[in-house]
Amino acid sequence: MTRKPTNLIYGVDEKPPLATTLLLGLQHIFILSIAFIFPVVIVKEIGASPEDAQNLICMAMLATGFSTALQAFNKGPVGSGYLCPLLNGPAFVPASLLAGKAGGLALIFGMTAIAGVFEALFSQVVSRMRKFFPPEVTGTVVLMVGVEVIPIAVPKFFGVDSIHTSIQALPFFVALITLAVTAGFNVWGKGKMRLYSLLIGMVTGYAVSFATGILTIDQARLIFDSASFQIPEIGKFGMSFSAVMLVPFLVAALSSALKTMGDLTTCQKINNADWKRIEMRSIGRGMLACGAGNIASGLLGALGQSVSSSNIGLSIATGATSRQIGYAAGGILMLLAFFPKLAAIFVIMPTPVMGASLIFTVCFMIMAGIQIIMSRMIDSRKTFVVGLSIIFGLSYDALPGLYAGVDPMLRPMLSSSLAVATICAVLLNVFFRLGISQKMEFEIDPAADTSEKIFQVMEKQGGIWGARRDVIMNCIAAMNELLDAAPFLGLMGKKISMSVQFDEFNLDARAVYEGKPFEIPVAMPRIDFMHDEKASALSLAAFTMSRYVDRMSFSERDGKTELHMHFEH
Amino acid sequence: MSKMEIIHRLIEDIPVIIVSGKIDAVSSKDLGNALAGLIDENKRFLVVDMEKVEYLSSSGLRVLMASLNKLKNMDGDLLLAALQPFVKDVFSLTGANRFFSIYPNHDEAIKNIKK
Repeated sequence: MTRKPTNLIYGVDEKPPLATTLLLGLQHIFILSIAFIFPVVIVKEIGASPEDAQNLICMAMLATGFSTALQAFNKGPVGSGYLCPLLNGPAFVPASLLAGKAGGLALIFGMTAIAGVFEALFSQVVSRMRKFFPPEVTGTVVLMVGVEVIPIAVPKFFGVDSIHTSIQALPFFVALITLAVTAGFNVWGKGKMRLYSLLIGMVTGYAVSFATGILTIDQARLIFDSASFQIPEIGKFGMSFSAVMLVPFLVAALSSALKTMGDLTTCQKINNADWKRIEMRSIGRGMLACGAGNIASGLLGALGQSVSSSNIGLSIATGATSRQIGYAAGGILMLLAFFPKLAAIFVIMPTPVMGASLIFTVCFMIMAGIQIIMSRMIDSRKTFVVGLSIIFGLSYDALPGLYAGVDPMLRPMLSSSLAVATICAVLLNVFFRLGISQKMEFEIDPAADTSEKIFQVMEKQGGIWGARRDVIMNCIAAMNELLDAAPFLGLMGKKISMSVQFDEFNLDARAVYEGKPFEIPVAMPRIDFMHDEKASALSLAAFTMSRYVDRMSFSERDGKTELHMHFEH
Repeated sequence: MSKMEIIHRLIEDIPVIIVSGKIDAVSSKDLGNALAGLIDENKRFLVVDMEKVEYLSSSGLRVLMASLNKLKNMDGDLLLAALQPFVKDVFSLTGANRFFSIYPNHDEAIKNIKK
C-alpha cells in the first residue's frame, strides 16, 4: 500500500465526485487538444485535403481516448493504473512525414500499427532492464520531456512564428494573462480553485482572446458550422506497409517507450510519498497500453501516440491524480469524435492560450525530473550522465540542423532534444557503470580514526553506487556507533575490517573485529546512568546502532566476531 | 570536512552553547567539558543551539543526557534548539526526545526559560 503525498487532493486510488471527475477530465482534454495541431501539420506537408485533417483529428480523439482510458486500468495485464493521458505526440511526427511522403496516409497508419506491435513486445522484456534506467537516467528523461515542449510553447507564448520573428504585444498580453490567472489560482487558490486552475486560466484566455480580436468571429463560427452529430469514418484510408519504413517507426516506438518510462516514473513518484525506485511492472503494463493504443491508431486511421508529459504536469499542479479522471478524459474524448460542434471548441484554441498552458505544465515536469535525479547521491559519473545528456539534448534546439547530416536511417533517433538526451543518458550510464565494484572494503583504527573517515569513504562510495542518501547515512551512523563502542569492547589499538556490499535493493555492511559480540538492549539505558560512561556508553551505542539498521546479527569464528548490518534500499 | 566547534554566548543572562560540525566519540568530550564547566559554575539553565550540527553519535547524545540529568537534579534544564533533520531523527529514533525540551531556535528556548 502506498502513502498518498500530502500535496495531492485526489490520489490515484481515490474517487472524486462525478461532476468534479468530469470537469477534471475536461481540463486534461484542453491540454491534449493542443496536439491536434500535429495531424494538421502532417496533412499539409503531404498534400492531403482539409477534410482528411478533420478525419485525422476525429480518429485521434477516438484512438487517444481509448488508450487514455486503457492506461488508467489497474487490473489485468494492460494499463499502468495511473492518470497518464496519451496524445498524437511529436515522437511519431518525423517518421509519419517520411511515410506520408512515400506512401500516403495508408502507409502512415500501417507502420503506426507495426510500431504498436513493437512497443507491445518491448513492454514484455522491459522489466528485466531496470539497471539501464537508474534514477539519473529516468530523471533526465523526465526533465527533457519538459524541456522538449519549450520550443513549441515559447513561440506560442510570445506570438512568434515564421512571419512574426519578434515578440508580438497582443498575443503576449493574452498569454501573460492566461498564465497569471492559471498560476495565481494554482498558488493561492484553495481546494477546487486549485483543481481547476488551468481550466479557469484557459477560459479567461479564450475570453481575452475574443475581446482583443485574437480569436476572430470567423474562427468562432466553426463551432456553429460544424455538424452536431456525425459518425466518424473508421479506417477510411486503409493500411499499407513498407520494409524501408521499419527503422524510423521502430526508433519512434523506442523513443516513445522511453518517454513512457520517464512519464510513468513521474506518475509513480507523485503518487507515493515513500517512492524509492522505479517499479517496472506498472511500467511494462503501461507500455503495453501504449502499444495497444498505437495498434488502435493504425486500425482506426490516426497518427502514432505517446504519453503526454504536459498532462502529468497538470496532475501535479492541480493535485488530482485519480485514475477516474483518466477514464473520464478518455470517455469524453471518444464522445467528442461523434460531436464535431463540441470538438471545434478545442480546435479553435487561441495560440497564446496554448503557449501559456504548455509553459504552466512544463514547470512541473522540469521540477519532477530534478527531484528524481536528486533522489540519489550524485558523484562525478552521474554528473556527466546528467550533464552531458542535457547539454547534447539542448544542442538539438539551440543549433537547428546540427544532426541533419546523420544517416537517414538513424535520424529518427536524433529527431528531438528528448531523443538525443535519452540516447545519451542510456549509453553514458552503461559506459560509466564499467568498472564499478559492488563491494568495497576498508579498515578502521579506533585509536586513530574519527567519524570523518567513515563519512569520507561511505559518501564517496554511495555516490559511485548512486545509492539513496538516507540509507547511506544510516549505514554511516551505524558504523560510527561501533567506533563509539570500540573503547568498551577492548578494540583500542586493534583494527576493525569493514566490507560493504550494495545492490539496488540491499546494502549490507560487515564489521570483523577481534573480540566478542555485545548485547543489544531492547530499550534505551536509563537517563540517571548516563553520567557513568563505562556503565552506559556501550549499551547506548549498541541500542542506537540497532535503531539505524533494518536487521543485525553476530557470528563468531577463530576469536573474531563478524557483525552483519543489513539496510533495505 | 567539518570539525566540531563550540562558541559560548550569554543571551539575557542565559548561557547559549552554539555547536557546529559533527559530534562523535572524540568531539563529544569537548562538548561534555563545556557543559560540565557551566554546570560547575552553577548555571542551572543552559541552551544548546544545534543549528549547525550535521551529525550526532550516541557519545554526544549521552553527554547531553548526562548534563540534562544533572541540571534536572539542580531544578534546572538543558534546552535544545534548531535541530537539523538528521539530528532530530537521532532523538526520535532513540526516544531521547521525550527527555528534552526542543525549540525551533535559541530565542524561543530563552523566552521559555524567562516565562
